[in-house]
Formats: sequence, C-alpha cells, structure tokens
Amino acid sequence: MTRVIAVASGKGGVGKTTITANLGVALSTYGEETLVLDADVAMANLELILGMEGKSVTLHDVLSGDAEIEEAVYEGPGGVKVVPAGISLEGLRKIKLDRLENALLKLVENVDILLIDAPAGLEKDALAAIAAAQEMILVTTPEVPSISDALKTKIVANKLGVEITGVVINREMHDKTFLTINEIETILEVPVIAVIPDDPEVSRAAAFGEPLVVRNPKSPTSNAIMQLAADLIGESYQPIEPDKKGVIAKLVQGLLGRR
Amino acid sequence: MEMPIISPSMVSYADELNFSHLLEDLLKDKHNGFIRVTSGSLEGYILFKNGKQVAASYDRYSKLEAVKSIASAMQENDTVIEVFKLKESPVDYLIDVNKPYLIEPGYDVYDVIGELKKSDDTEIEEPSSDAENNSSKRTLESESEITEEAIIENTQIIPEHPKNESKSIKKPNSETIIETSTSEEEESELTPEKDSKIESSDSEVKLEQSNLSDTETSIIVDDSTYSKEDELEQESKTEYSDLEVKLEKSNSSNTKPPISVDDSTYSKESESEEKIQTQSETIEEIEKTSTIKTESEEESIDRSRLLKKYGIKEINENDVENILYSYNGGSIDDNDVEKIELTLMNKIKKTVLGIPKVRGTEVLVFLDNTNELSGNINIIIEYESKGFFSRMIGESRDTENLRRQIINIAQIEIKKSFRKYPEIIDNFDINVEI
Repeated sequence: MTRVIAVASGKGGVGKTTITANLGVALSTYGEETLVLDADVAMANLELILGMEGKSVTLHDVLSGDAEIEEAVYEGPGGVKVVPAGISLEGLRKIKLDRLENALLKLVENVDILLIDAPAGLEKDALAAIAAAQEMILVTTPEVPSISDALKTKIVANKLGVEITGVVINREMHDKTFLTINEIETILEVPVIAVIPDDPEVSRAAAFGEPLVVRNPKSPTSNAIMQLAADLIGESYQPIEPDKKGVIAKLVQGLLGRR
Repeated sequence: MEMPIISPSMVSYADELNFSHLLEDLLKDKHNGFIRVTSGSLEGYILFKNGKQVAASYDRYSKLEAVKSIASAMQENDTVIEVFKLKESPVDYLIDVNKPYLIEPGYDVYDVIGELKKSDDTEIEEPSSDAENNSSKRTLESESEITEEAIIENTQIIPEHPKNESKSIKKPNSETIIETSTSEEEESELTPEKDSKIESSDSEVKLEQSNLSDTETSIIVDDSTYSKEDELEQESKTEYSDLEVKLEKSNSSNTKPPISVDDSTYSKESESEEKIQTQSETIEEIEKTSTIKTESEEESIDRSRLLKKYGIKEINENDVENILYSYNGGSIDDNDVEKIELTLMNKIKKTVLGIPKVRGTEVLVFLDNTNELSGNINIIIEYESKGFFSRMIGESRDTENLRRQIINIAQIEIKKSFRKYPEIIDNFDINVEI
C-alpha cells in the first residue's frame, strides 16, 4: 500500500522543501518507488532544488484542468519521480485545489511512497496537502516561532486524522539560545525522528540545483537525511564518513575553487 | 545529558542482570548507543561508542564520578537499566552535544566499574572493637589506573541532625566503611539476631557480621549512599539526613521496621551475631509510588512551563475548528450554496440601488454546485421614466449603458465574494432586465 506522507511545518523557510527533495532522493536510493509532489503551488521551489525548472507541464496545469497528472510526472535525481508545481503566476491564477485530490488518487497507483511538500501556513492549500496524506513529518527549526507554528500545524493535522510520524529538527546549531531536543519534544508531544545540522552545503547544493544527498553524500546533513529515510522504511544505514583531507589538499581545493 | 527519546532495546532490573557482564557484552558487540540507569528519582546515562564508554552522567555527577555513582546504583534491586541502540552518527552528535560529560580518552572506565563492582562485594574485616576508631579509612584498590582511593570517614555528628551519627570501623586491610547510626528511637527498633546481617538494596547497608571479636565482619556498603571519596564527604552528610527522613517515612508507613546501628549498640552487639535487614526496599517503594503519582503531573507542568517560558500559546479547540471550517475538505455543501446565493443577492441589490434613477430592483441568484460552482444571476431593474424628447434622443443608449453598469456591479460583487478565485465569474450567466 502506498504511503502518503506530507512534509509540513507551519512556518515558512524552515527547510521543508529541501528536506522533502533530499528525503525523496534518499528513499529512491533504497529502492522505494518514490514520488515527490510539490503542493506549494504559490511558492513552489522544489523544482529549483532538484534542478528541474522549466518543465512544460506542471501541477498548475493539472489543477487548472489543462493537463492530466500523469503528464506532470518527471524523473529526477536518483530515480525519484517529481511533480513540479510550476513557478508561473499565470498558472497560479487558474488553479483549483479541489482537483488535487483526484490527481493524488491517480498518483498513488504506481508508487510506494508519495511525499507531499506542503505549503507553509494553514491556508486552504496547506490544509489540502495535509488532508491528502496519511502521515505527516513535521519540520521545524529549534526556534520559538517555528515551534509555535509547528504546534498549530500538528494540532490541525491531528484534527484532520493525519498521523504525525515525528519531528525533524532542521538547522540544529548546538546553540543554547535555541530550544533543546527534549524541549521541542515536550512542547510538540511528538518524538524527534531526525536532527539535521545547520550546513552551508545545503544552500550550495540548492544553488547548483542538485540534491545534497547526491552532491555531498558524506556531509552530516546527507547522513542525517539518509538515516531518516532508512528509519522511515525500516532499513539500516551506515553513515559515510567524511574524507579526512590534509591541509595542503584543502588549500589546493580552496585555491582552485569548488563547484 | 541530552539523549534522544527512543525505544530501549533491552530493559531490566539491576538484580536481574549482571552489570559487568552487560558492559562486557556491549564492548564485545561494539555497541553504539547509551544505557539509562534509573534509581528512584535519580537518573543517569552512559554513552557508548563502539562499545566504549565515552560520556556519563548520573544525578549531578558527570564523567567518572557519574560512572561510579551508576555502579553504586546497580546495587539497588529496583534500579532499572535500559539499553538503547543508536547508529554511529547520532552517537557522534550526542558526544558533541554532551561535551561536559565526556570521559577523558584513555581512561578505561570499564576497569573502574569492574573494580567498583568488586569493592562492593569486598569483605571487610572488623577489628576487635577499638574504641579509638572514630575515624576510619576505606581504600578502594583498582587494578587499572585507579590505584587506591582512601576514604576517610569520621564518626561524626551531623550538626543539623544531632541524633544521626556515622560510624566508621577501621579495617585491617585499610578498608573503611561507614554505617549509619540511628537515633535512639530507631535503635530501639533494631532486632538483634544471632547472625547479624544488614542488607540493603538502595540506600541500604548490607552488613554481615560474625564474631567480631576474633573473626571478621563482612560489610557491604552501597556506594550510592556512602561516599567513597573525600570530596564527597560533605554530600554524604546530606544523604544521611535524607536517609533519616526516608526512614521516618517508612516508620509512618509501618511496612517494615527501620533499622539502624548505633555506635554503642554496635559495640555491644559486636560480640554476638546478628542479622539485620534494612528498610531500603520500603524506602524505595515510597519513592516509587510518589514518583509514579507525580510523573504525569510533572510532565504536564514541564510542558506548560516550557510553553510559558517561550511564550508559546496553546491552541484552543475553537481556533482549530475555525481553521478547518474554512477548509471543509475542499468542497462546498448545500448550506454553503444557499448562504452564497443570499449574500450575493443582497450585495448586488444594495449596490444597484445606489445608481441614480433606479427606483427598485429584484435580484435572483441561482447557484449550481455540481462539478464546480456556477450559476445564473437575474437582475430586474425599475428605472425612472423619462420625458418624450429624452427618450427620442438617447433612451436606447442609456439603457445599454445601465445594463453594462449593472453587469459590472454584479461581477465585482462576485469577485469580492470569491477573492481567491476571481476566474469564477466566467461560470456565471448574468441577465439584466430594465
């Protein structure tokens, strides 16, 4: 049976899309038939992170009634299937969210896991994305506003009958200014299933339109996401140790630049 | 220590498992993860990486002290040990997070624990009742880096609790032990028997004594209650006072008689054999029940405290209902349709009546909610009559303009009502009769 998992946060900018994209690729590498759907129709950027912008048919077209959902499915990095939302404002004008439900019904026929990148907030588009899922991964940073919004999202999701798989703490900085893992678990009353460290490599990978788990699989963030994916499907994962480069090697790399 | 909340791979009581064997197994398995040791209200962790202890905490102790305290806690029957498995990368992360608790590299903690375990079972010889033994030493020999830990414990009267005394007995093999001596009231409850044996599991003293005069006394003292190190002496005082309180509690509960040893009593009875069972189990039971009772309360209190601390508001039911009301699963029901019809009718009528020379109007809205929202809007206008000449000049043009104006008004009202879906006006058929 297909697992439909929404990745939601409440607050915007906490790293939902980055985690969804990388988690989708990670799940694919474990052999799971995974489809990532960008339900953030207003502020879509999954396709930018995966380097798949400019596709001819997008979710906008599907929700506008101009295309079938199957036409909007593309193969992304690591074999993950992707439904980009489309980034044109014109497409956004015409969409009808009511069509999302039917589109999802068609999508789940051929995949093991459907990951939905839910929009921020609790507007109708976000609720439609959450309500369409059976499970939800709550993404938050260890900051108060983010936790506060995550709490609202969690409560609403519970009301919609969606099971909360756990919390992913993104951009953890080991800083005492922010909330600890225990505090977050206590406030949200949901177990923390992954802690993703703050990593400049994430932004760098996004700039190059490449998922981090592909671009830099040895980074702590990649390892954390791979571990999360493994945990979701009950697999085991052996983290990849980063290369221990010598000072000269680092110097040379710095001088030559790094793509 | 900061540890993740995960399911333990193994849970056991201390008396059901050999702690040193467990550590051996973990070392063999190159265990990555941690163990949690819970004894009453005290909690401790040992973090393992590849089977080696890398960090530890117990109550307010950290590092090696914590390991020692945990080893002591293992002597208590109702201490719970939980083993948690983790991958290596989370362990690295936990090492990072728990830097203050890291055990210095190169220190073989396993040996320390082993030694501590041994020391717990060490038989301590009691010399002939020496009156001058007001101070005593207890030395822990360890085969590893720990060479000798001499613990000097004085027979002391705790200022706050004059009745409490700690009795020290000098051992020939330089091992020192402390026993709690009780108040006179407690003393009276002591039941002397032939083979004196004081066993304790938690704050307990296990004391086997036989023929003190010429043979040996075997005394096992739990480390959790009795400090071994000089620097912990002060803390031990408070522990003793705590013990007194606990003993008093147990008295009131009338479960088992409290047992304590007084200096004088001890010396008297040293010539005979006695067996004394301590009250530790009772104390633990009391602690347990109180812990269980308050556990759930504490959790909620903690959460509410946290919410207050960070200024996070709990979401109330009504707010959630309001949010979901706007959502409604993505469909519009018949009640909604009627409301929309009425709202649109009133809005259009009100605006149309604002046009000069419009005497009256009737607006009829019929919505259809089959595939998507669509409908018909019929607007009937009663317009002020004009003179013959005016009618001759431009009546038809005015009427046409008015019709357009009214259609525009109706479309604007629809747009206002469906701000997020302005394209919905394409689904409406608007007719105007003047």
